[in-house]
Amino acid sequence: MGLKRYIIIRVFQGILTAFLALVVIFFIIHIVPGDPVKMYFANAPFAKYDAEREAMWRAKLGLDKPIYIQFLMWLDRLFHGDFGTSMAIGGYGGLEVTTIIRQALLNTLKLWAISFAMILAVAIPTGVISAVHQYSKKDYMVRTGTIISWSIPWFWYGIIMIYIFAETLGWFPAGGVITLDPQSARFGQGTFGDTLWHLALPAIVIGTSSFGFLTRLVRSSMLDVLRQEYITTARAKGLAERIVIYKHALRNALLPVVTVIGLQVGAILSGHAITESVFGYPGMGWLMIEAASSRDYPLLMALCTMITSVIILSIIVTDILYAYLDPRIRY
Amino acid sequence: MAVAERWAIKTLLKDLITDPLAFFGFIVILIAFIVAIFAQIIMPYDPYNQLWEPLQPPSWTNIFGTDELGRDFLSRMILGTRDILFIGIVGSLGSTLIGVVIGAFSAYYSKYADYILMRTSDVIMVIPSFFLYLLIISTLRVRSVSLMVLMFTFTTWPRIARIVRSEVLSLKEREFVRAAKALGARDLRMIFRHILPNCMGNVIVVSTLGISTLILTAAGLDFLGFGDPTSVSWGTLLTKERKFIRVAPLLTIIPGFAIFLLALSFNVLGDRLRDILDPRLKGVGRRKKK
Repeated sequence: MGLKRYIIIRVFQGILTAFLALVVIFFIIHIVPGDPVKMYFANAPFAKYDAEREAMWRAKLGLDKPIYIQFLMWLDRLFHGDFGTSMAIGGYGGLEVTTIIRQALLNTLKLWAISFAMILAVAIPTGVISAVHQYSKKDYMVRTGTIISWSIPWFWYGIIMIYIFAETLGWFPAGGVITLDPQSARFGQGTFGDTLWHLALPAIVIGTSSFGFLTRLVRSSMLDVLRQEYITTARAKGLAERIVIYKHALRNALLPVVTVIGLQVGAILSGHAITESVFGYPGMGWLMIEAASSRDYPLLMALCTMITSVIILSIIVTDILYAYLDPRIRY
Repeated sequence: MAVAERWAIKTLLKDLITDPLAFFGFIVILIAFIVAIFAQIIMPYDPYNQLWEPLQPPSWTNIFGTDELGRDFLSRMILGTRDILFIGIVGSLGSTLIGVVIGAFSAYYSKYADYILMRTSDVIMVIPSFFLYLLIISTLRVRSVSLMVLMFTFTTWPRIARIVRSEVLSLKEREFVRAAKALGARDLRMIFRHILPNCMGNVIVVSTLGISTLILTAAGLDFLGFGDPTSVSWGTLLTKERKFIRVAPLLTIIPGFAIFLLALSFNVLGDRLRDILDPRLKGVGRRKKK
């Protein structure tokens, strides 16, 4: 059947799925009561409200046309790379959606980079130890720890951490990205150190609540690998146990872990909305919540498109990777 | 009951007693159920009545203190247990039922139906669920527990359907199925009595773990203000009391901790179930006694 054909089929399926998903989302957003024009007039006290203005905005945004026409218009703009202007953010004129998303994405990526580094640093060694010493007390503790990590309600955890570390102890700032007041900025305003200082608490929150999943993954993957025959061979060859574990077992164990992480990309992009909300951190997740509350159509659709495409892309890439590695999986 | 099931239950009970974590989880769930069912009887006071001074610390009359309107917090927490358990369990049950039915039928019948169902589940799984919740809740005017349950059911069934589907697909070719068919298994339903029980292992685990996910997600949505503001669900309590964290930190700590405990217990249960059910129950058929 061939790898090429598989790839083509998968990509085509992916595009189809993406398109269907977007159609569904578009209809959900537009068909339900409440629209950006009304929200805008409700939220901006300085804007003069009159029927004429409302009609003008509607015509401008194309909201007076039937749904399927709106969808086609949107699709058309999409192909020209125009995601539109946000109604809600940026006030009267509205900021370009792409600008908004770019900034939010940057923020989320920053946060995620640090959290992820922390998680990896903890999860991999812990998972390995837990697998190697399976059924021992260490393993039991690790498994308990991971379950606890899974079960923590992030928002509550965030609030408590803010209360303890930011308000009571004053070690970290309570949120935001940079310090606005030059006097309370410990590391200078807007510098790298300042950013890190702000990111520390949210990163700790995300890190502790997410490391459980990854640790479990590493553990089960290692367990699978350690049973393989080539491990026994390596040991029989007389290699030091440490080399066997780290050089041979771990490398192979990490592959499924990487692919699963790849599938989590969608979750990453949703940016841990709740944590960002709690810390007032303007990332992708926070953006989603804002867009949803203000029914900011252009922003919402752009976010959806982006996230959906990334998810589908990651699924396709993962599938192709699997097909490449395992010739049995073809159509 | 077949031998395998009896053994599984025995092992589960044994685990629950010997393993401290599992035992703890089990007790928590038990207590939660009892509290939820007998809430009206257990509540010391009326959770909606403002009888005392607001924001009082715990005392002998109000064990958890009072909230900002002078209502007894313990009673509110007790009543809130119902909402949380309802959402988690009913949501998970609903999605499991739908998922099992769709997955089984999709795998068993024609290739065409299978393809369509799989594409549908793909589309649903691709849409970021949290996002969808935000959208739906913020666009509809209704904010209720039932809406949440409905949404969760809608977004979670594909996962279960996939599991069931792959299991059914592989079991379809096994000998005991063919034997049953050769013996003239009257109806396809009878075959479902043979195949489905073998898929249940994984399904049960995913459902149980799903309960805790639902609890956390529901609490999260409540927290963001998308829940029902008149309810006493723990998430809503948490949001409301957050403002007063400096004055009465306990009011924020308690609901969150309760959510944590409940989610933890279901997770522990699901984890233990997985250990027991996964490799061992697979491939054990249920023999119908004539």
